[in-house]
Amino acid sequence: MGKYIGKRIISMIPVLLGVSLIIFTILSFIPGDPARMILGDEAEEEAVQELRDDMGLNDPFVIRYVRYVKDLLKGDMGVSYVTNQPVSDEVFSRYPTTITLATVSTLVAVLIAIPIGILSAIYQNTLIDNVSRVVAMIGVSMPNFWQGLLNILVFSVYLKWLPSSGFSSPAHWVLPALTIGTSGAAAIMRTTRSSMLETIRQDYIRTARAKGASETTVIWKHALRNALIPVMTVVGLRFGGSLGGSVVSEQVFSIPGLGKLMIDSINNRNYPVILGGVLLIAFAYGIINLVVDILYAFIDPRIKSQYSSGKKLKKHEGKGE
Amino acid sequence: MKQLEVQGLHVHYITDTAVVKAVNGVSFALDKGETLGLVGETGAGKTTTALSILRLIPNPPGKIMEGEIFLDGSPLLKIKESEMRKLRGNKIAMIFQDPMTSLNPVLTVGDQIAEVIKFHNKGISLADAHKRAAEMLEVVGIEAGRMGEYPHQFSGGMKQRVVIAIALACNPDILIADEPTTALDVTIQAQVLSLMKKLKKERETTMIMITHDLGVVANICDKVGIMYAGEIVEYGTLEQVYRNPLHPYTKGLFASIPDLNKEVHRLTPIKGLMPDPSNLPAGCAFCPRCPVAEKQCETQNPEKTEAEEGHFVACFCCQTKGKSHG
Repeated sequence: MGKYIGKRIISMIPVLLGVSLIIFTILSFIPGDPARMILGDEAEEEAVQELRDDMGLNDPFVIRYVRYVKDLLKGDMGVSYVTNQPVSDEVFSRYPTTITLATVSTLVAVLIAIPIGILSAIYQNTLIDNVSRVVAMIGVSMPNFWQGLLNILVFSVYLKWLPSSGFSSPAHWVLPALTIGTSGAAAIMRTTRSSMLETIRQDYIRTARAKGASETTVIWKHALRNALIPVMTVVGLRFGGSLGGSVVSEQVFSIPGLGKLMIDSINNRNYPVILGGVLLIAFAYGIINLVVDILYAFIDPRIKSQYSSGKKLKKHEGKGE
Repeated sequence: MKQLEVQGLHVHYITDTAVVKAVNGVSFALDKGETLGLVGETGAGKTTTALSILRLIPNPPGKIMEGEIFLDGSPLLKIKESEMRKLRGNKIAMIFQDPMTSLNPVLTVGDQIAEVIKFHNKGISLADAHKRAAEMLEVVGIEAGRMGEYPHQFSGGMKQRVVIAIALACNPDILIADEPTTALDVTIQAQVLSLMKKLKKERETTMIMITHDLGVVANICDKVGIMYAGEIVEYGTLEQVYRNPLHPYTKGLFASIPDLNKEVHRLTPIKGLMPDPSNLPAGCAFCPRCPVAEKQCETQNPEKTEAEEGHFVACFCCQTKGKSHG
């Protein structure tokens, strides 16, 4: 298992290098000039060129990229063009906010989705199931920004229960987490339902009933763990996605998260911050995927045995699945 | 009093488009320690009959429309679900057909055996339940040391034994074995059968053996019920049915077994297919395939008649014979 985790982490290095190369290339092709941005529209062309030389922007692409990677390996992500602060400081100072928001909203999504998903599977085609289906449909269809604005309108403006913007206290977390969480809940709910429906038709569920197990035992002990695997994939993807910052919701609720920083940086052609941010997001995504894969192993012993006996099972993988 | 009695059981699977009549008036009765072999093609209603006894017909779509089932005289179909739960796995246990899918992949086999022991022995400690589970594994010929392993670490035959261990863990009075050997190769089949025979002898378990292997029935059963399209068309002791098969379907089944002493180039199957259970013929369900069918077979379904003592046949051919005898 440890060997597997190590392997996975090492395999993230080429991924991150690839990401950096792609972003670096795209950034060097998009129109707009950071030097011009810094100096303003009225600056002389000469001054702009001089600044470009200073910033190393006039060097050939390959040289610039190699320089960036070299610095990166030393832990230096460069300096923000706008604030002159090290990029790592800028990005990491925003990151706790984004992580908190992602965690809380995923938690909200899971807490709403999994119980309702289970219920609508057990009571398939009844009122509960139909209501949850409609609610899920609404949840998916409602754009995040609109739902966020509605939440602000109801809970901040009319009811005055919760603050409408900022992220300084848990009270501030509620509305954004609710907004992002409910839209995520829909997908998780549907996955839970279909996965649960499939599981409770399995032979081993019948075996459990034939042993004299109560419905509660059948659902919680026998069905849920088996049904959770596809659900975890969806939750992991959602969580990984929201770790990249929920751009729209951060804008609506004026949350100083990574998403907002990235949007601002793209507008300013603040290359080092964009690069640093994307790399961090890619890294976080990779880690989340790894965590989900490890969680699979804890839920399903068949997957665990695949991890531990690496070589032998690689042959089986093709046949087994 | 009979230990298990099934009377006039009718089970339908009701879907939006069709009503599948899986079981149509099955009756039988078993004394303690007797073994009944239910034989028939796939889809004849054998498994549905068995699941009805445990009240495990998936509902919807399945529904027991008519009939009574008595266990030691008490009506099983009328008791509360919570009462029924106390019987399942305890008084009545079932060995399921497919060992590959009948075990929960995320629980150790030890846990799965210990679970049923815990359900039916209130207050038993976890350690004791596991100790008894280990004993059960030894009974079916698996080392107790493998308790902590998961189903995927066992071969098919061993999984089948684990399924058997679960079914036997609480010393059931009635054991329903649904094709316990179908998924196994012949060597393992023989082992499982001799294991079941041993258990039958030692524990005097009443058994219902569901199979389409007439050899298995001859090996282990006392009574035989031949099922066709949801009905028992012939029922009697092993001797009666094997020595003197009366129903044309039973005759067809025996005729399709190749004779080892003769050189056989082609097997002799029963021509045609079993009727669609959602669209059964008006008369005798076997009529379209029957070599001796007459006019009345198309419109009337023959009642079961007693051809000799304890030997029942649902065919007009025997009714006339029975009359002439009487």
